[in-house]
Parts: sequence; structure tokens; C-alpha cells
Amino acid sequence: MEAAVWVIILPLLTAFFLGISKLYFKKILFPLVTGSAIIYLYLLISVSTNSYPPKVYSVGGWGLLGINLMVDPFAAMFLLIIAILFLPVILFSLKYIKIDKHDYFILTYLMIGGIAGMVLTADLFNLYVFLEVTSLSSCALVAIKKTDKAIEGAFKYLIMSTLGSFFILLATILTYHLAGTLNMAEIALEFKELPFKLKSILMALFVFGYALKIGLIPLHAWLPDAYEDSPIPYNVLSSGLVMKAAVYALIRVLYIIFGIDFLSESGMLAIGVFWGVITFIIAHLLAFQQTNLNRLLAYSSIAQIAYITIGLFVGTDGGLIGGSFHILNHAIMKGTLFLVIGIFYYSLSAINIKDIKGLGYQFPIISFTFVVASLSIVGLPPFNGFITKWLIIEAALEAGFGYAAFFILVGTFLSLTYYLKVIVTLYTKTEKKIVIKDPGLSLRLPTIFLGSLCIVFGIVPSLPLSLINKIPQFLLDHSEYIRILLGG
Amino acid sequence: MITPGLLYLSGALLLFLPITNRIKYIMSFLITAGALIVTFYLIPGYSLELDFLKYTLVPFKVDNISKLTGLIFAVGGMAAVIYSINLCSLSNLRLIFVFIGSALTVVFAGDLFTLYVFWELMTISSSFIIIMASDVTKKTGYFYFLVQLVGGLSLLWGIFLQYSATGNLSLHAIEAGLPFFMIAIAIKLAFVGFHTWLPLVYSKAPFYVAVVLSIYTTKVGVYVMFRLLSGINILAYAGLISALFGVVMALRQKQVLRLLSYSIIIQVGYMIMGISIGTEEGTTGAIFHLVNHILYKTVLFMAVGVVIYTTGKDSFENLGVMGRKLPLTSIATLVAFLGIAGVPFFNGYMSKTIIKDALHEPLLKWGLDLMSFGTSLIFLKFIYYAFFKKSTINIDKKPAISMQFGLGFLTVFMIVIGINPFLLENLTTINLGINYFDKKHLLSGIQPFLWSIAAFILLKKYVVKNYQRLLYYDGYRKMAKLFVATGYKLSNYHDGKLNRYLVWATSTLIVLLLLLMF
Repeated sequence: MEAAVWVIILPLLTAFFLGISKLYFKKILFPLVTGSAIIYLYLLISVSTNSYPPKVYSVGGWGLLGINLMVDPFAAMFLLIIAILFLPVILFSLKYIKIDKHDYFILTYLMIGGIAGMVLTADLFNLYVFLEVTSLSSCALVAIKKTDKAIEGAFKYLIMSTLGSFFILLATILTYHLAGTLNMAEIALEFKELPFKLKSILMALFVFGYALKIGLIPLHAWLPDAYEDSPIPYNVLSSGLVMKAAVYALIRVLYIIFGIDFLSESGMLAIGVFWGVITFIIAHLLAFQQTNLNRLLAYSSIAQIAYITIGLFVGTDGGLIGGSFHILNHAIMKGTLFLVIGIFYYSLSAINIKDIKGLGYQFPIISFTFVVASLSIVGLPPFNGFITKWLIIEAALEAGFGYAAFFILVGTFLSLTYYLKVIVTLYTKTEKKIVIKDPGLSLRLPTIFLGSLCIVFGIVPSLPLSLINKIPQFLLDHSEYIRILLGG
Repeated sequence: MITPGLLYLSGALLLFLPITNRIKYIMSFLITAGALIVTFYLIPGYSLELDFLKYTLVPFKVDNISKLTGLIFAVGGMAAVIYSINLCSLSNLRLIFVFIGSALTVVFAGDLFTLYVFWELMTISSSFIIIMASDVTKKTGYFYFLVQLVGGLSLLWGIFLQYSATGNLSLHAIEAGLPFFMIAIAIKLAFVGFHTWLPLVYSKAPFYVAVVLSIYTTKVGVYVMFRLLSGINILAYAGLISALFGVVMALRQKQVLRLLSYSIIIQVGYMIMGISIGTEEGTTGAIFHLVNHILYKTVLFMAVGVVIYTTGKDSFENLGVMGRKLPLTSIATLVAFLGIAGVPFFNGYMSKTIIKDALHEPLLKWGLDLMSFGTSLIFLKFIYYAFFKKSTINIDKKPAISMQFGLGFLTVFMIVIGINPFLLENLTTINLGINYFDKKHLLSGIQPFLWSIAAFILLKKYVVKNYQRLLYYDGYRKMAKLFVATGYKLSNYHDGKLNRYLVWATSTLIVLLLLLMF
């Protein structure tokens, strides 16, 4: 079978075997998890480097009727993010997670399988199925600690996420009813003849459903609660992949099915940009109020995803490049920040800002990584966050969204206020704290790896940009995508 | 070709290696001296191009003015590193290297992108120098970072406006987004109204930090103003107002470091006036004044640093140790004082003369004299406490040799420039045709100084007096409070109740549908 199919199957299979090993051979957890993660890394890289020109895989040879997978540069970029994030997080979790280890890894692999499916599928119903797989395993992961807070967070997450899924399913059913097919290319062709108002309502349902999963304000309320007491390596995957996968799916649906012309005519682009601006301003203000680091980073994630939304909704080449690049950069930066917090939590059970006082002198390298990642996420040169902010602002100005561009700079200032607060606390001298558990290399190395990527992608942005520059070609002009999908 | 900025930046990286103290000294010396030599042998007209994203950047471009500024930055860098090498921690030494390196790169930047990146890198490194320096400077560093970031962001916004208006990033006079460039530079220059960070940082931070920061922070602002905003005549009056404000504030200070900080604001006023005139004479005078100012102000900061190092405090009384116990420091201080007061045959005289020659409006000329008068009055107070007032304070420890060395190094430069004012002209191959030592210039140069001595003797009890702090309205604090209060209100809406979240969700759906339907 084709490699692209294995990208979805391998994590699901691993989850299945992990389930068996939980029942019969508990010892093989480590080789199974790492072995599968390494093979997966190879698979992801080989599939994503092979994405130009885009390839279509028809599973089981059913043609357009069956399941179709499509690897275009946008999907390849997302697979690359999974490749960058997955192995470090798995290595981190192997030491970090102590209780319910098997359950944790089963759910994580299920989640990754779901995300890979969302990324590759070219079929609206499969998109919904994989979205549900992702959301449900994600909810279960939030609750895995079984503390009161964790269960409360998971419950809220479940309700809100199900509400979102409901609207997405509703929209999918309506689409099937109207177009008579679920293949994205065929829907796009059918939709050209549909009345304007009808399409608007359909789009509103899709946008609302996905916005709930993305966490645009005021649909974000579940997110900080869910992050507050969940396992920290999961938070990395959640903010780096789960939320992004929803953004990805929304952009896929909007740009491929509805097309850029309809988006700008119906005013969706303007609404998206405005929504993004509101979201990040409020999220930054709220983040400043937090005392819990997980919640602080959650609000910061909401703000950063709003930047991505702005970039993608600007609706030009530059916007799509900037927005997609920010998906990658945010995954790296936020991953680094969460892993650092994870190390602090692991070794000192410090999770509030006041608990990490003076740790800058106790964990010099890790703290330096935190500083690099937070300056990067604020958007200061010479780190990678700056490059994408520059691209997004430039695109917004070019497309006539001057106010959005200006407020992104205001947002930069606001985000510094709270990140600097954390950094200053980190470097305030106090008496030495007692380290309960030594983090060791297996926690430090993944963190430092991700942190160093912040610098590398800031100084040599052409590395990922060579792939990302090809994204608009198949997204902005959907006829190209449709032609390839129908032809394959 | 290796650039001086890159040399410093790679020096910062090298300091990450596990090294002994001895290697640290040797390496720092080699890098600072190397940067000085490289800058000296730069050929004006050389430029370097680099493709980044979709732009063609010019990260390195040499002309006469940038070479001169680079030279003085390299000299100051060498002196400052030698001065502070024994005082600061290794992590701060790294940051100082990054700071100096980025300042040197800004000077040779040939496009707005490079300029912005290293401008911001200066902000980051200097903020962390302040934050890491001691336990009492955390809040100061926080404030400083935020203020400087506002400046940096308005520069960035200006760059975007300029780019979208003209379509290129080259470094020349600004056409669009002028107000934003002005705000950016005003904050860097500590222009009145945007100045609060300067006295705060330079008096709170350890003195060696103030020495390093005072060389570059405001001067980079002046240099960038010269590149982007030269020839806007109206700003000359702004410079005058800022400087006079500096005079008034400086006279009221109890702390020597604060006095020196306000005196920076005055001196920057001269440079703003020179640049705003926009003629070759004016801008050259401003840049020459920048050179001279770096020399004497750094020496003064270093001298006060020696006093703080030996006695532990920077009140005026402690300056009294200078005349009796610290001979070398005293000589340096005297030379610097005569320089800053604009006395002929000392270095400040030449650049002040050029700027004065460039000014044509009588009001500005008169204002310039008033500024000179105020400056020497302020420093007469300084000198009075240092050499004339009886003091009983003793020194706790001897100043380190490295400190004295850094101090002496700059003093030699000052004396040389003072005696031979044509040196800077020869170095930049600019010929202004001013005879510094004819009767007219000498007379107008010495007048404010003489007047100030007379005024000091007459009004001594008003000048040498402990003033209460002026109460003033702090708008920035009000704004910050508003921001925090808004956030607090917003966070109160998040009470964790699911039904509230569902109401938000439903109303969002309704709004979305309405927006898309109509």
C-alpha cells in the first residue's frame, strides 16, 4: 500500500497493539512506542517531501466513490509539524507520565492518527470522522489525571467540542443533500450553481463549528479550563496539533469547497480578520491576569491562533504563506514553552508563576530555552516568531487590512507584558528550591531541540519556506486542486 | 569581510564556552581591539548584499559618517568592556557583547530591515543586562523593556508604512509614516515626555551597566535620526525645549547618576538641533558632538562609578573623595568637565562651535548659549562637590586597575581631539572650513562658561541645595492601570459556568448568521 495511507494507519495500529500489550505484555511499552514513533517520523518525512506536484491516493481502488487522500503542500507542511513535534513529545512523555501510561499512549496515538486523517483526507465525511476521533481522544487525555479540575475541564471541553462537531456534522449532511457527493472536488463543482444565501448559511455552520474547536473568542472558554490540569506533554500536542488541525480543516473546507471568490464576496474574509483581531486583543489582556502558567499559555495559544486566522483569512498569497508558517512556528514555540513548564512541574511541582521564582539560576539552560521561546512568541527578532509576524503584517497591509496589521503590533506589546513577567520571576533570586525529581536528559533534550529550532527557523527561514511558498498555488486557486483530485 | 558588529556577536557566542577568567580577559581584549582595528580600516563606499525572504538586504554599508560613528562606538566598547570586566558576571558580559555588537551593526546597516532587527536586539540585550544585573533592578528592567518595545514597534510600523508607500526598504529620508519614526526615535533619545526611562534606569542599575548603556542607547537614536529624519527644521526647537527641560531637571537632582542622566538629555538636544538644520555643517557637527559626547559622558559615568565602587554611594557628598584620594579619576573628571562645558582647547568646544555656526535663527543661537550656560552650571555643582567642598568620607577599597585603565584610555582620546580639532575632519575627509581658534569663535565659546562661573558664585545657595522631588503626573502608570483593570474585568466574566459559555456560543452563532445573511 501507499505510504500516505500508512501515515494514518500506523498510529491507529500502534494504539491497537498498545491496548493488547496493556492486557498481556506490559514490558514492551517502551520499544513499541519509540519504535513506532521513529518509523512514523520516517514515513512523515518521506510523504511530505514527496508532495510537489500533489498526489492523490484512492484507497482500495474505488475511485471517486471511495476514500481519497490528497498530499498537497499544505498537507505536507502539516505532516512536517507532526514530524517535528511528535518524537520529542513521545520521548518526553515516556519519562514524564507515571500513572496510566498505557492509556495515555493509546489515546495519544489515536489522536495523532485522527489528526493525520484530517490532514490527508479529501472527503468531507472522513474529515468529520477523523475530527471526532481527534476530539474524543483529546477530551479523554484531558481527564486522564482524574483530579477534580481535570475532570471538570474535560467535561466542559467535551460539551463545547460536541456542540462544534454537531454543527459540522449538520453542515456536512446539508452539503451531501445539496451536492449529492462528499468528495471535496465534486462538491466544489456542484456548489458553483448553488444560490448565494444557501451557501452563506452552510458556510456559517462550518465556520461556527470549527471556531468552537479553534477557540476564537468568545468560543474559547473551555480551553483554559481544559489546559489547567492536563498532562503537559498533551498540552504541547493539543495547542500544536489539535487546535491547528481544526484551523487546517476550516481553511480546507472554505478555500476548496467555497472558493476564494465566494469568501471575499460574502464578506467572510473581513469577518475572519476582524474576529482574529478581537480574539488576540482580549486573549492577551486575559493572559496577563493569569497566575497559573498552564492557563497563561492557553490564553497565549488562543491569541497566537488568532494571528494564524488573520493570516489565512487575508486571502492573498502572502497571507496564506504567513499564516501557514505561523502554524509551524507556533507549534514549535508553544511546544518549547510547555515542555519547559513540564520540566518545572515534574521536578518541583511548580505550576504557578510564583512557584518558579529563582529557577533561572537553578536550571540555566532550560530557563534560557524558555526565554528564547517566549521572546520568539512575542515576535521579537531574530527568532522565528518575528519572521511570521512580519509576513502576516505585510500581507494584511497589502490586502487592505491596515487596522489588523496595526493591532498585531499592539498585540506584540501586550504579549510582552505577561511573558516578561514570567521571565523576570524566573530570574529573581530566592533561596534554593529542593528538586524532588531530576529531569534528566530525556526531558531536557526534547525541550532544547525544539528551542533551538526557534533560532534556526528565525535565522534561516528559507528552510521551511521552500515548502510553504508552494501552498497558495493549490489553495488560493482551487481549480488546480480540483483538477488533480478528479484526475486521480 | 568581517564586520565589527559580527565580531562582537561571535564574541558573545564564544563566551558560552567553558573558559577560565584568564581566557575571558584575553578574549575580550582581542575582540574589542579587533573590532576597533577592523573599523579603522573600513573603506567608505563598501557595501554587502544579502538575500533574505524576498528582499535584497544591505546589512553592511560603509560611508564616512557611519565609519566615524562606528569608530567611536568601537572605542567606547573597548573602554566599557575593560572597565566593567571585573565587575559584571559572565552572563552579563555576554549580553554586553550582544548589545555592543548590535549597536555596531545598526550603525553600518544599509536597509530598514537590518536596522529594525538589530535595533530590537539592542533593546532585548540591554533589558536583560538590566534585569540580570541585580535584585533591585527587576522592575526597572521590565519598565525599560516595555518602553523600548513601544519605540521599536512604532519604528516597525513606520517601516511597514514606508515600505508599502515606496516599495523598497532602502535607508534614506522617510516619505511615509513620519510620526511613527519620530516616536521611535524620541523614545530612544529620551526626548522630554518620553524620557522617564533614562534617569530611572541609569540611576537604579549598577554603575557599570549605566556606563555601557549610556554609550550606545541614545546615540544610536541620534545616528538613526541622522539617517532618516535629517533636515526637519521644526525639530530644532523641539531639541531646544528638551534640552532646557533637561537643564531644569538636572539642577534639582540629589543623585549624581541622575544628574548625569539629565545631562544626556541636554547633550542630545545639541545633536537634535544640528541634525534638524540638515545642512552638511549641521549634521556633521551633530555627529562630531556625538563622538565628543560619548567620550566625556562615558568618562564622567566611569568616574562616578569609581566613586560608587570605592565609597558605596552616589550622593553628592561622596564625590568629595575624588580630589583627595583618586588622583587619576580627578584628572579625567576635570578634562571631561572642561569638555562638556565647551571650554576652548577641550573636545566639546569644537562640535559646539560647528553646531552654533550652522544655526542661523537668532532664537536658536540664543537658546544654544543658554544650554551651554546651563550645562556648565550643572557641572560646576559637580566640580564643587568633588574638589571644593570639605568632605570627610573615606574610601573603602582601591579602584580596580581595569577601571582606571578604561577611564584613562578615553581621557587620552579627549585630550587629543581637544588639542587638534581638525582630527575628526581629517578622519572623515569632510572639510567644513571653520577655524576653531580665531578670536570670534574662541570668544563665543568661552562666554557661557564664564557667565556660568559668575552665576554659580552669585547663586550658590540656590544651586547647591537639596530640592524636593518634583511631583509630576505619570501618564504611563495610569495607562498601565487601565490596561490591568480591563483585563481584570474581562477575567471576571470567566466564572467557569458552562451555561454562560453556551450562551456566548449561541449568540456568536446568531451574530455570524446575521452577518453572513445580510
